[in-house]
Amino acid sequence: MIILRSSFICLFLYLSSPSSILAGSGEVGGVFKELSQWQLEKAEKLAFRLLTEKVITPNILVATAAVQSAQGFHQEAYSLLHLAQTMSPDSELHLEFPNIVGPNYYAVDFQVIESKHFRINFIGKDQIVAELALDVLEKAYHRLGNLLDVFPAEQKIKIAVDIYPNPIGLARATGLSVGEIRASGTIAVCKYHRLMIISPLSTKGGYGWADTIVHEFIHLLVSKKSHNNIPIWLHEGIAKFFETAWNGAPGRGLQSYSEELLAAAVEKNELISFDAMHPSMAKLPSQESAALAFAEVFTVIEWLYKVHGPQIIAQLLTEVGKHGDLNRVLTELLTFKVSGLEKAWRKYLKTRSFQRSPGVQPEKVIFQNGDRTPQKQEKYELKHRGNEKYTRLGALLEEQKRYKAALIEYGKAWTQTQSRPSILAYRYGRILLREKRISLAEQVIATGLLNYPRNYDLRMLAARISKRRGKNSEALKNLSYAERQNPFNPQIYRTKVDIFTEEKNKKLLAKAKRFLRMAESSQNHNDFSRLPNTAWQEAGLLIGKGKLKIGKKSFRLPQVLDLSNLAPNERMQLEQKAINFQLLAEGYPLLVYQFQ
Amino acid sequence: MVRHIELTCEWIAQQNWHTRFREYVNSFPRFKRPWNLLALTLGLGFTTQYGEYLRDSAGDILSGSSRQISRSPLISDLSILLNYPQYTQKKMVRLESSDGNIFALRGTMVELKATTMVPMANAQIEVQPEGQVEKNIIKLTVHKRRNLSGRFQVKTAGTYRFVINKLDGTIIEDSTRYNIRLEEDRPPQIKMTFPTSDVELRDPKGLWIEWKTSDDFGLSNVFFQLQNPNKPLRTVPLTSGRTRKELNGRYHFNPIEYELTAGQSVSIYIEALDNDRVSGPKSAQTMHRQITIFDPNKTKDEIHQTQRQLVTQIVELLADELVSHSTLSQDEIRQILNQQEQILKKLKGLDENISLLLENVELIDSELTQTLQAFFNAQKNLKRIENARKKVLKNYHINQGRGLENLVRDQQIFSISKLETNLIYLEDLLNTERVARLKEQATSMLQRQNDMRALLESFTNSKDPRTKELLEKRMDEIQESIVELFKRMGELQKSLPTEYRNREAMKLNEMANHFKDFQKALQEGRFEDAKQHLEEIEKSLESMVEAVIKMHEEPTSERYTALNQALDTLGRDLNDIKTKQQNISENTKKLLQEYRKTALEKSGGSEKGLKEKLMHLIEEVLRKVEKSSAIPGMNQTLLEQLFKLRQYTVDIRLLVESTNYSDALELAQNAKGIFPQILRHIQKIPASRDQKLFGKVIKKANEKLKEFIQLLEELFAPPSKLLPPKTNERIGQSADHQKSLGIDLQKLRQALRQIDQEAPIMNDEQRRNLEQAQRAMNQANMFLEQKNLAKANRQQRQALEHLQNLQQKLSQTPGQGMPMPFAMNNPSFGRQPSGFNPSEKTDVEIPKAIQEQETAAFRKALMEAAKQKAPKDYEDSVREYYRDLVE
Repeated sequence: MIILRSSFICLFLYLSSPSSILAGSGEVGGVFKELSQWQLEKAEKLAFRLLTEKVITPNILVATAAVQSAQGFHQEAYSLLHLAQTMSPDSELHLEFPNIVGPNYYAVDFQVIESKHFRINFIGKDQIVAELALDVLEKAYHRLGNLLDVFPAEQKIKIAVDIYPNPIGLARATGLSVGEIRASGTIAVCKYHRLMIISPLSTKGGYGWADTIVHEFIHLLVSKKSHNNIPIWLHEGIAKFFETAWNGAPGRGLQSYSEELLAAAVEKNELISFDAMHPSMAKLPSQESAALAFAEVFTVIEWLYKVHGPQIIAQLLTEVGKHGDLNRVLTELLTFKVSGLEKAWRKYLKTRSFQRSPGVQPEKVIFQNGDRTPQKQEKYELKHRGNEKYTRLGALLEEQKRYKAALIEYGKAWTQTQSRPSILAYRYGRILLREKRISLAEQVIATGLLNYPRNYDLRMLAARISKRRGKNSEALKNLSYAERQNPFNPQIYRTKVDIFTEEKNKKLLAKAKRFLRMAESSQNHNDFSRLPNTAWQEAGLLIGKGKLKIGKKSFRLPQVLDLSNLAPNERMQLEQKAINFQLLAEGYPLLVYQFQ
Repeated sequence: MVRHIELTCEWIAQQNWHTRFREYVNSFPRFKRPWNLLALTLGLGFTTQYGEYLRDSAGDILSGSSRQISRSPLISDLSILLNYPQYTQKKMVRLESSDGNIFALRGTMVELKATTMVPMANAQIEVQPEGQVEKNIIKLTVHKRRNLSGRFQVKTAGTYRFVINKLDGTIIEDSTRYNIRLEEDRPPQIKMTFPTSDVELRDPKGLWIEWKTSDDFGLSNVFFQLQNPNKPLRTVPLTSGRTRKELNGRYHFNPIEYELTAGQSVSIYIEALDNDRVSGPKSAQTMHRQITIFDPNKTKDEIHQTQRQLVTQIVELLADELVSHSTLSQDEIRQILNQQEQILKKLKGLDENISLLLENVELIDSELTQTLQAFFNAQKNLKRIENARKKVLKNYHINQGRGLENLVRDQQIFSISKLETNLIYLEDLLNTERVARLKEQATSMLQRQNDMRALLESFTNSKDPRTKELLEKRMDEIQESIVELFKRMGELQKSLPTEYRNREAMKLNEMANHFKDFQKALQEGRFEDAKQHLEEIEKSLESMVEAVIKMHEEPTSERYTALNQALDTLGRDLNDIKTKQQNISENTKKLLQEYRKTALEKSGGSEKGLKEKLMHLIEEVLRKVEKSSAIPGMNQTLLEQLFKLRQYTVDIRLLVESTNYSDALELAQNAKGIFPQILRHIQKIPASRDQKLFGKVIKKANEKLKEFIQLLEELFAPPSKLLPPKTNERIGQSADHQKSLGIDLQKLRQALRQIDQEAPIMNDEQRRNLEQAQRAMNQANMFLEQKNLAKANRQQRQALEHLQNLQQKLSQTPGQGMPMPFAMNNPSFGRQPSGFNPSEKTDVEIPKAIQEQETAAFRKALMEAAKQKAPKDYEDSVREYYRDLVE
């Protein structure tokens, strides 16, 4: 499941099984079948049984590796895959399972942070995102679990989340090419039962990573609950509609830009049909039509939710999970099929009121690699606008530090037209603040935020104004928004430190100070070209579940270990703890230890 | 002999030398002076060591202590032969009865001959070189006991004296010391006549270096010397072996031969050596000149920098206007006035700076020229603002400050709007330039990357450490270039403050990492990884550059493409108007010809007869005028009037010859106006026979001309009377078309004005052409309505000419075109549509007629040509030319 986020538009591209290569081969195939239906727990049980009860074959090892990988245990998965490759030297398992190999370029550097239901792999400064994400995801787990009636981490298997430092990481982990990722602007993927995102640190101004990760999580819930049996448009509709539910009501995720597109399409009767959205929304002819499609499917869920009650989506998913046939389920639940749903929804749209914002522009993600720079975004936004000339003049004057004059030109731009780009709101607001015209600055920023509620620059400015006015709670609210966009801005934590010091909130103050230290630290360049060392002198396959503690060391089971790295006493402990031991795996000389 | 020497020694020992010396000195009054004494004392102390080939290797043959100094001169009849060194090419000089002093060039062979007063056994001269203690002894040959001869070579300045050994063994030193002075062989003189100062070499072919050198005796060599910092001196011989005293020459300095690249500076000079083979050649150098190879990029940078500064100044000006405008109030009127004067000052300064920029740029490419054209247009616009501002201030003073607020406000609104438009446009153009240069830089950078890839490939195969070294060196170079590239990108990226941006996401960071990884991979021999990192660097660079270029190119080009399209449409419209004007003009011309033909037919007489009569009359006039010119007693004014009249008469004859009667009539009517003036002047000159004759001849000429005019006036009646109703109707239609075309042009002007608000692309000349075309079209319409075909046609052709000029000015590049930032295509406004050939003009044009029509020389040349029966085409040209003048 790949989620494309360009202009904060999410596209559901395709859904594939972790491995089609081995999917059909007997019981091993069963593991992959469960995985393809997002039933990781079942797959894990089956793989464990195979590993403990059958003669160990490369296929079993690969299936087990896939299960380990789905749980985010990358080095363990890689060791198993490598053993399988060693046992069948004619195969090309490394090439066949790039999704298992890929994350291992980062696995050596990964740090882990866990909550009750999630386990996040991250590197360096991304600890900020990881910590914040855990909080967001746990909230989402409960709220969305209740809304969709699915709690996916109740069987001791936590949901794995990987934060990759760059698009190459995501490419390696998903098997997509870097070119595809760059061209499409993909920033997050939900695949192999894992949530994978690119760190906001690799983008200049960050992106809405919190909503993104929740969006991905909803895809996981939907896939799990429906056994991956619902069409993409419905998948995206549910994810889009519920992505805001983690911290409030669902159905708040429709951006002004998308709403405007939808309103215009309804007016002109130019809606995109559900058929056109199949099999992939990525195949729609333009970004604009993709954005429209998202707005449409959002309103499909909105309609179902409002008209048929909040429980309808959960019911629908449960039934589809059981029967696998959406039309049948729809008929049973709502008395019509997909075509009927489309008809009813179109009717609903005609009665729905839209908040119009003509000229509003999509919010964009600014990527590190060859994608649009902030300036590009500004220019794009300003293109063909009556206020462009004056905004540029304002900028020229501002560059020369002629603030009063710049204020006049920005003011002209602001009054010239109703469609005001976020950059104009930001610049005008900032210069008003500078010239101590705070009330007007507040008005301008508030107007800007109406159309661009997630705009990082506007939120930071709004926080500054609130702080200056002594409205601490409002400032914190704006900072939270900014944090969910670019949590690496030290200014966020400086302001928080000020506020919490003022409020004498020791706990939050300590946290803010810790985050400030992290934000201010510099991220050292890592060379992500190393795979874990597999030049084993004495390979040992450790079979079992959970963690095995040998002295001070801890090993996640199952995995392959170089026994020569163990001290004699550790080796002794290992052998003592093992409940079973064998020397061969399908004729291959190998020390196999089984643990309880 | 030995005994004699012993006795002499004893005698010397017994002498009181102190007393004797004083006595001796006192016997010579001149030695009483202390300085002479000093000289003598010094002279006595000198020794000689020169005169090598005559030197007695056995030593001083007259050594010993029994020396006497002669009281009287020892030598007479001294003759000296100076044989100069061969290289000087000086003839030998014989000095008979010489005073013994020698003045010669170093290396001169001196032959001495003398007679002694006393007989001698042998003799020598002792040469005392200047500043040395030892002296040189030169043995002389003695003939017949009284004659001596010998020779020595002059090597240094000093003195010499004769010492003889008398027959009795007494050694006598000549009391006289002779001077040896050296004649100077001066070093050569040399001058670089071109260049006379340091040069920035713009011509890639190089330049001629010219020089002049001379020497008193001869030059052996001339060299061109080039000093490139940190490199050995390069020397080029410029002369052959032949020796000359003077040499002029030039050397073509080609920077390519010296592998000099743009921006490099070298020092050059010419060095000359003389032919002195005795002391060794002496040299002289010209002034050293610095030659800097023109670096177009550097120049562009400088120009760009100036442009940037100008834009900054405009920004400042706009800021002043805006702020001043916003704070305008009655209470601050004095302050406003002050501000206004300050703004005016700034405007003037800006105007000067733009002028300087336009003047200073000589060698620039068309792209820059276009931008400069825009600056030129901007300058004109600013001038308009300046003038308006001056007016406001003037009015303020006249009105004693009343109504200043409104005046200033209106003026500011005008000024702000103009400044805003110009500013955006100039900024866009500057960005266009920046992007073009960024592209250039990026292309060259990627080329280097390719070279590097090839090197890496070669290293992978060969593992040659030298290749590795080269690779690392290239890497350093590329890093430097990247810094340069970043600078260029920085110029494009605005530095407005934003909220915090993640440094980790900066491209430079990523690139630096790739560099680091590349170097590491190279060190560790991971060539595949190295290649990959190199590719990543390349990709990053490409994508960055592309992003920056797109960022500017796309929105700007979209904006200006829309303008371009509008201009294209207007261009087509202009062409359409021009074509229509051409057709209307053709039509009027035909009508005019028809009118003339009809007029002739209506006159009844045969054309031949009429022509003969007219020719007869005008030649009569000409004869009388020429006759009157020969009459003496005329003043200057009269002569000028007569010359003018003669010119007219000749022209009229020419027109009659070519059957152009209507023009002849017009010209004759003009000529008629001169007669009263001439007659008035005649009356002013003193009464005499000549004066009377003069008056009589002129009156007759006047009568003949009147007769001529009358004949033609009878021929031409108004078109309404002469032409049939249908033709008159056609004239009416033509007038309507002309009117409608005038309206079309008016619309076009309005549209252009609107475009000019968006992008100040029009300059004054273009505006003027438009206005003149409009005026001529309106006039043509008026004359057509009055049925004055000739005048209408003339106005039509003028309108056409202005339209053509405008079209040409607008389409000409570089310099005169319309620079359009990032326009996908250059505006085709004014470009001729395919198939249109500008040489197919129906008008007959006289080369430079417009410019030179007022010059007497040209008119004279025309008249001379007319007299000499000019070729037919030429006559046509002349006819058309005069038609233009009179119609």
